[in-house]
Amino acid sequence: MFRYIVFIGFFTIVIFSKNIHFLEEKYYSALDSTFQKRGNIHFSKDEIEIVYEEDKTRLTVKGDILMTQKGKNKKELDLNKKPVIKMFFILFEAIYFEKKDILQSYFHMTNKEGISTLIPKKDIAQYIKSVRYYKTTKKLNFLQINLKNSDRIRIEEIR
Amino acid sequence: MKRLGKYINLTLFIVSLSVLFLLKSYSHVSTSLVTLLPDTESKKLIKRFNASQYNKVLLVAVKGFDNEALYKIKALEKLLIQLPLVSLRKSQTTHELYEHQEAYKLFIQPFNTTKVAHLNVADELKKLYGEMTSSFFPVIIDKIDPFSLLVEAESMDIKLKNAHLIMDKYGYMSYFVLHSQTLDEHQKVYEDIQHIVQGEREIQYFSPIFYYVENSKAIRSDVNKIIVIAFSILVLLYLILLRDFLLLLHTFTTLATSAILATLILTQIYEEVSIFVLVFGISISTVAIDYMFHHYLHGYYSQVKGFNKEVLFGVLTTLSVFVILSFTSFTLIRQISLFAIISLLISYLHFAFLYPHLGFKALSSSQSIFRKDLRFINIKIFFLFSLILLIASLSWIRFDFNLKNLDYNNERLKQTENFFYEGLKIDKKMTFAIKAKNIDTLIINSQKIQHHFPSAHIPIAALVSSASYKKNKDTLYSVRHIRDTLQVEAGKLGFTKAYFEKAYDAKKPLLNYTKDQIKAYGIDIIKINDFYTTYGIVTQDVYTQILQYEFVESLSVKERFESSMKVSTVGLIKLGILALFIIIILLYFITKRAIVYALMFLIFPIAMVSLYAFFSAINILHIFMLFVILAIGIDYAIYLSKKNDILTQRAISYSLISTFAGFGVLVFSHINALYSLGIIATIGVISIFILLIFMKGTENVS
Repeated sequence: MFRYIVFIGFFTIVIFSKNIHFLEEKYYSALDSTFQKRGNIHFSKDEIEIVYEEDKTRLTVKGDILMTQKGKNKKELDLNKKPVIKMFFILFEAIYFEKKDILQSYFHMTNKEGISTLIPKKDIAQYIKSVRYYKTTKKLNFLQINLKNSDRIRIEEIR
Repeated sequence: MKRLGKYINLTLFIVSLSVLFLLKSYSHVSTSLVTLLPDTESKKLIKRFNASQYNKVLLVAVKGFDNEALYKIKALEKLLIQLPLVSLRKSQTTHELYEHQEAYKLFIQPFNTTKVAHLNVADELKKLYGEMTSSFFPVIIDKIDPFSLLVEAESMDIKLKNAHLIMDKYGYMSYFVLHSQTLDEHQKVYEDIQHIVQGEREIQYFSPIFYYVENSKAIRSDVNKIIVIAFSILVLLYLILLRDFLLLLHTFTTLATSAILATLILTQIYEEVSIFVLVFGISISTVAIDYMFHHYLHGYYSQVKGFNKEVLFGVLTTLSVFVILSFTSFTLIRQISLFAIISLLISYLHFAFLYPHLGFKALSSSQSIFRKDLRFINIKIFFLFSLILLIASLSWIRFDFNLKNLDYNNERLKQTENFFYEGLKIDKKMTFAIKAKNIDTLIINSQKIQHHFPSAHIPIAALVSSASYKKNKDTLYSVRHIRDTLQVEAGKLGFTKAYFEKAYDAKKPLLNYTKDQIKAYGIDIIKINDFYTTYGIVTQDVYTQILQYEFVESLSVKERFESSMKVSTVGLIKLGILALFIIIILLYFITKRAIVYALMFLIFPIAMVSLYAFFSAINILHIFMLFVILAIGIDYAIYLSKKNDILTQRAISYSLISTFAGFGVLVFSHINALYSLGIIATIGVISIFILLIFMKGTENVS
């Protein structure tokens, strides 16, 4: 019996766990510059963990709390007070795990030649202009978020 | 003539009923408590508020955070918004308002002076640059206030999961607005909601309007039981003791006619008449039954006897009390008094002038209903006993004017309400109104409250007022260096040249809003007479502090009712004393030397009620019922002091039994308001019976 429980537990962890190696490209209109970073995202059942390769910053999102750790410095942020950041994680998770219900509750969705375009329909339209992404069953080719202030962020899954 | 008389009674009833339907007088009858308030600006304000979306919300929660629960809450949302009086609660910030607030950001919220004083522009800008280059998520820079120097307005704590609202440790939830206005609409929407969620164990739902529906349902079922008891007592009285079914029918017809005509006249005078006025008015009008008993038992309906002076004196004394009370500023009591005057007068005219022509047979038995004459206690003993009780009661009597204590205690609904408030970790919210002579002062007043109580939610406070504009403009001029340094340091770090050109810029003209502009922003604003008014929401713990501002008004009907009652109390006491004084004078002229005997019918019931006050606080309904008992007591005092014979005693006894059937049976009610009426009626009836049985009579005893 115990063996079955261990097996089911292990199996559950495996199907909820997912690792992505990514390249992040951010354009800031304020600086008129683009910044690139590489890192790993690890999705598990209850949390999302992001680790950058260059500076070893570790970001953990669990429920409504975002924990940032750089060396020994730890910071906690209540995401309910930062709806834009919270929306960013909701969006990222929903696209990666193809949670269309969630996407449709915030965006109008269209799809052309495999590339999906999302136009916000609620309060987030104050910050997000549009979202474009291309995802196959195995890979997130790209996800680009165009912000209202002309900034944009592009994430690509790399192998 | 007899036959004609019979028809006249019935015809009068049918005609008055037809006119009632023809004029649609019943459409003036309101079930809303607001009707009871004086016709002031506050009343209009509360009516407008009741129509707004602030007032009636519906909370629905489904247990669990899994997909099944999510699917269930979404399915429920779809079903509920299909109901005609239900809609989903939308975000209160419109796009236009957001754009406007962004444009005038620097002139709304105050500056954080400590932050301004300690700001190092170069360091803060480097920090911002660092966040932009290292953060995973996009950093959104506020071009107008990049260093967050303005005090941030508190926002509602909203928790989401899978893009849906959640309630901590329970599950998914949804927030709806109900648009029902009347009790009938509340009832309809309640039933529709019940129909949708019925049988679902893991769904919790609550709306404050459920209290109206469930409480009135509970009261109705309680009243139905009581009506059965009351009707049984009346049937026993008429069929076993009086053995005259026709008299019962005619009496009911007369009482119904007088109540209908009183309703007709009252609805012509007032645009709206509360259902409570009708309920209490009809109750008082049953007092008229003793006019019938007195005439009937003294043979006025079976023989040609002329005119009964005692009854006329009784009627005039009772009417004079209600005429005096009708001068009160308290709408409820004024309307009840008017109703009582009209209905008692019409009933009296029936019983005194129409009934002698209906041909009723005289009651055969002339025996006293009390087998033995037990009238051995001297008036002085009763007087002394009453006086001691009244003086002693001053030490224990206490008043309870809290209307909530009269309400039906709906435990189940209270538990559901607490479940939501505790689950959402929110305190119970209260809504209030802010008023001012012009729009700018209205915004200034709102901002005063908002800055003092940051947790308050006052939408209009997020606009620009002349005060916030001037204060922030002065601050911006005094910190011009921040703007200058920012431009230089930003250039050094590589920010584009025009990026911060709007930062801490004091060049914006002052705005003059119009009512329509504010409405277009989705903010409630109304103009009543010379005042502009808006609404705000605050937690219960600071509500009383907010009411201290002279420009704030409560929107709670209960509170307005109580304060209107308090304002009217002094006037009502004065009128009460005047009424008592006039009663004593009238009693003196009518009863002459028997005045002390007559007064015992007022003093002894009051003394017995004051004894009851030892066990319970006295509420508004106790006082109301005491007035009714005193009105009956005066009539009996006049009859007995004029002619204290077996027939008079019998008439009074029957009248007391019907009073008990009408009011006393309410003592069996579980509803505190009805029990209060019942207990005083019972005490009054028993007190008068005690006087009737044990008190030695006057010289007029026959």
